[in-house]
Amino acid sequence: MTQAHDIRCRLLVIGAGMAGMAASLFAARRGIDTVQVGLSGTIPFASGLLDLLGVYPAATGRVLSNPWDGLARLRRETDVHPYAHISDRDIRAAWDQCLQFLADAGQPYAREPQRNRQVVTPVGTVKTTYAAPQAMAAADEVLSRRPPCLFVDFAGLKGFSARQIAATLSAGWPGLDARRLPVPGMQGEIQPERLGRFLENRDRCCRLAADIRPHVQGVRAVGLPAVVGIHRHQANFAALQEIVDRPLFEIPTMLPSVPGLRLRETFERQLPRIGVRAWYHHRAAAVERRDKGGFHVRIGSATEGFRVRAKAVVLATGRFFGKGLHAERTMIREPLFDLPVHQPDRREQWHQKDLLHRGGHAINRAGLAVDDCFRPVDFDGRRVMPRLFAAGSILAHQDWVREKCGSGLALASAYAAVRAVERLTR
Amino acid sequence: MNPAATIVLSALAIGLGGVAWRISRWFTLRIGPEHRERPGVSLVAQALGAVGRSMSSRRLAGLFKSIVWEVLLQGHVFRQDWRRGAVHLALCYGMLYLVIFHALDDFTSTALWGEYAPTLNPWRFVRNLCGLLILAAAAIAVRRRRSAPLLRRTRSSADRLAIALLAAMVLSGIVLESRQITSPAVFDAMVDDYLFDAEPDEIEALRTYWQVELGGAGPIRPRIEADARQYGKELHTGFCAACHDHPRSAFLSYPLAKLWKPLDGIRRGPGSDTALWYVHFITACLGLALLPFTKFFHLVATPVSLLVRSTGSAAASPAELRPVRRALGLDACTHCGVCNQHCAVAIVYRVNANPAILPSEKLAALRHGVSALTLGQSAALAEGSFICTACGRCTAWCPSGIDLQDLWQASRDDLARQGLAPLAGPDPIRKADPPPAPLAPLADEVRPFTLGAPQPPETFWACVQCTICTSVCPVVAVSDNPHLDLDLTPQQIMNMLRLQLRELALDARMVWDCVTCYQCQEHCPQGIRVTDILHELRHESHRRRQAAACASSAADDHCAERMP
Amino acid sequence: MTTGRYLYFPGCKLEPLLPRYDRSVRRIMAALGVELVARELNCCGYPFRDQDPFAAVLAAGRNLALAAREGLALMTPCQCCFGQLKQADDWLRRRKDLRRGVNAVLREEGLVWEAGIGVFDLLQVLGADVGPDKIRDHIRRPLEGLNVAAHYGCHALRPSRVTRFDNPLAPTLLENLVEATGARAIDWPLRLECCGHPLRGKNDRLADKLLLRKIEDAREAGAHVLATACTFCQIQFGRANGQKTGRAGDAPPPQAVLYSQILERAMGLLDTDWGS
Repeated sequence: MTQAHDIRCRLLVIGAGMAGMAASLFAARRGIDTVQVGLSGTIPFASGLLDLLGVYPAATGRVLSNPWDGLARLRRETDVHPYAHISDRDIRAAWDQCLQFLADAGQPYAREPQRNRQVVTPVGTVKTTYAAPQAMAAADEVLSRRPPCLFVDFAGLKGFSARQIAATLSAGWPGLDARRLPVPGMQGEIQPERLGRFLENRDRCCRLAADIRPHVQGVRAVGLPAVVGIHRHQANFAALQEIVDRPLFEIPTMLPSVPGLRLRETFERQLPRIGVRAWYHHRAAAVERRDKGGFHVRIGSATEGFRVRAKAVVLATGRFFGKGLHAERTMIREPLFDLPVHQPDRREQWHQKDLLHRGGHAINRAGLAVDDCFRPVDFDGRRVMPRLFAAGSILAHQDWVREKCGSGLALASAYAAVRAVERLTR
Repeated sequence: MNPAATIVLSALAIGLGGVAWRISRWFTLRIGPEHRERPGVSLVAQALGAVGRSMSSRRLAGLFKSIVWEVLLQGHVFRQDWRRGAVHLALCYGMLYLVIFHALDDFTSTALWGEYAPTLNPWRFVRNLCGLLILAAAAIAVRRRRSAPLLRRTRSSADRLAIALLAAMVLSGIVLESRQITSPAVFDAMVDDYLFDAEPDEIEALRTYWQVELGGAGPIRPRIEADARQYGKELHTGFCAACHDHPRSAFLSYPLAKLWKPLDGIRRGPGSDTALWYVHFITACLGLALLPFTKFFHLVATPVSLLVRSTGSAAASPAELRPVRRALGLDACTHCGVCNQHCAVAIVYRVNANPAILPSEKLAALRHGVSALTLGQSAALAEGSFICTACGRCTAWCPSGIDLQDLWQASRDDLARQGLAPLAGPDPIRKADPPPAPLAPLADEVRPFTLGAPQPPETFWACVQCTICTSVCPVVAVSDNPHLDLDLTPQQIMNMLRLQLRELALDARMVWDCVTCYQCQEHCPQGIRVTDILHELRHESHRRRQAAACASSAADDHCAERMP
Repeated sequence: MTTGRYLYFPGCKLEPLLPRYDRSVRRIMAALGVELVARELNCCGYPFRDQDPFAAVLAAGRNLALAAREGLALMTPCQCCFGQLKQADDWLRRRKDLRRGVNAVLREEGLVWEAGIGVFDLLQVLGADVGPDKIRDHIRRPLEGLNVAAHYGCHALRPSRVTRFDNPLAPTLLENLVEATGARAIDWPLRLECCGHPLRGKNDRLADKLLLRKIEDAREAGAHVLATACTFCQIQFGRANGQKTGRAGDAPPPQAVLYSQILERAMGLLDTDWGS
């Protein structure tokens, strides 16, 4: 019922970023009656690439070719990092389940189970990731073999230059060419999302492919911005590739990104279909009651909206951008449950003097510390609530930006939290 | 020629000439976009042809039904509201009887009934009954207009004139009759005409009989002999009774007659009754002469309109004839106000005090075509015309059978051709205008939001220019070149407002090409009400244009009364 | 949610422009045991929201006050009316100054706006009050093999904080109702996008582009029928009915059909064509 004031469920997932989506997915797969609320706007601000662990330790900046080696070292060196609470087997299971779900929904991802792969960035540098959208998969091989390549960009698409990519990559890589093509039917400044929706239409993709086709003489692969459709991406990309008659690979663009949108809209559309009762764009305003029976959470605002009564809550509200953490003058707080946030003792310790310090700042590792069931714990290590769980970037003792482990952490912690929910709310 | 005949003939000439003139206007008044190539005369021929076709075709049954049910019985009015139906029927048939069988009795009643005399029953009684019906109906009509707020506010001088004319005709008749019942002068005149060779004592006997038995012929004198009364009765039976019943059947005039008694003692001879006759006569002639120039012209136009409606809607009639139908409709309107009571947007009139919101007043404004209006009037009419939602309820309810929907569509076209369509893009000639003070922020909202009044700049501080609003905008998505087609994208408009460059924002086509689908507002990660703000910008343009129109025509319309 | 009995708010355009919508709504509601009470109501205020926002709220407020006097919740088959009634209700609830102004006018005829008057869209009543299960019980001729692209009207869906219609980014209400008739609700990328009607008469070129973009998208997704549940959406999409779009050899574009008529047919109440 759409206007009901009270919704009952076994699990309430608060948050609609990667961790929230993953938690809802895993919960639905386990047959847990789930309600999800939250702002899903942050996913397009990610590139759509899914990292497991790209750099470890962060301070060294060492890029890992095999993430599992990094994980093994991480577990040896620390027992507070969220990854320290999860086994490789569970992490694999989480990835398998999520990537299968995405593939079934028409958004396949490419990964090599035992190693990280490489993709090209919009300025021509190389980035390491664990799973990339299938449409970016060819980049990995291209980057290692360095055959003659064509980079294409589109007139009006901001922050993406084929010429810059070719120039950056050209050291020791002959045969790189760059072309700027107009998009038939589009003029002026173009945002990636607009172009992505424009290319949702197969005919337009075919027209674009026909424009690219004359320029592929003598090249072995073609790189182009990641804008080929959102929902019909898979089919349209295949059609494009067939006409161009060369292996194609997408290159991430400026944000908000189309691969991010593909992820977000896939989750938004598919999760309700597998039984998640989702209220995207609705925020959890306040926790009205929490006791042994569970939680009463008000959705919307204090004076209106509706209430969800849940036996368990997975908190996946993210960090500062997602509004899961709130930095006050003297301390960082968790605004919804007012949970103990692990953080430096004094504000002066939040940041390093060097802004771009490789090891990051202490504030980057602030957040919720959890037990093995991913339940937040206080400063003495005692869990705060028996059925309150946390997942994703809100967790403490990790720096997903520098460690390149955002998605992996989201998937793994959501998986572990949901498994604990199933066990503890039976 | 005697003066009475002169007056009648003049009135008749004016009346008939007026009717002809009003009818000719059906063929000359231009409302609507239909291009007219045909001269008026051939239009008349075409109209007659259409009439002929409807006579001969299958529509005859419909036409017949319309004549009987709507024109004669006014059943459609009864069905809407039996009280109003009854009142109108009383008014209509009361008046019709008086005109045909009383005013024109020389030609009608006398010919129909050999024994007819105005002073005999049942005619005398019926005449009074009709007078009563008309007065009662008029009183109820006045009361209705006074009691319903919407009707009270739209009362016009034409409505008052019509009621005043009716009342004057009937009341002068009643007063005249009452005078005639008692007047000794009238008695004397009658005696002179019918008993010219009678002896004085015979006349006195008759007079006595009339005074005592019939309450007429002046004040009763003290000496009344039984013989004389008996003799008087015989004379009455012989000479008067064929034309004179007891006047008590004149149940309105007879009680009134007693009031004249004191006057009779003072004066004898010709005077008051003749004067009263002239008053009544001239009032009636005035009614006749004014018929085409007052609401009474609906007696001609409304039946025609009802018959025309029975042949189908205006859209179904030939394009050339549609303007004729519209002009006819203007004349068929009785300003009864039923349309206003069912108008879906009449409520707007309560706040903006623009009578042209209401169908009856829109129609009144159109009387001489859109081009005859002043700037202020046409701006007011345009506001009313374009706020109309074309729900069709006025047409469905109109007791005169006017296709109002067609009329509004046509007048909207005319207004649009004069450049009075509502704004659909940036207003290039808008005037600088200090925006009204923003309303107080809502208690439970982080960022203030105002209704109507512009957003304070704080609203936009939260905007981080992330471009999501632009990315999800379907209008941007289908635009070939957003910067040429739309001037500014949603996120750029938010930026202009953030920088307090309001006029630049108002210049953007985007404001007007927004489909108000609320995608941007729904998706804004910072909770800015992007769509509501675009609504506000449009409102600001409308408001400024309205203010400019009011300023240029402060004298002639309703602007002064508007609520802020 | 009150059940079974509603004050019916057809909206101004329903009877003159889409009488079959009115007819089908009355028919299916009667068959499903929902009573629609008819009273003369006024415009929802949506058409003049930009010209005179106060009058627009007043117009909606009067309808709400009339519903309160009847002691009934409003039910409308027009999603633009629905959106406006909800918006006005929201504003009146949150703005004391506005509430005072509106009630001052309403008091002249003995009416008053108060918080708590229910406003529901036809789909909400079908989806929640009646429910897909009960609808399924009334299906006489399941529409098997019919691919339906469900179109959500913008003003029902958004702003979701105000309309509370369904999940604004992932609604399922109309799809569930379509599947209850035995038809298949297909997924299509542009299902939540605007039909373009608000620009009709103001910028027809853009209105057409928006319309064709959606129709093309639904066709590409394999839809036979595009289901609408709003007077204005249907008027807009109805313009494309019977027109050939796309290239030769493409599947024909889907026909725009009112959901009420789809249900009417599935319930065995409609034997003639959908109408156009």
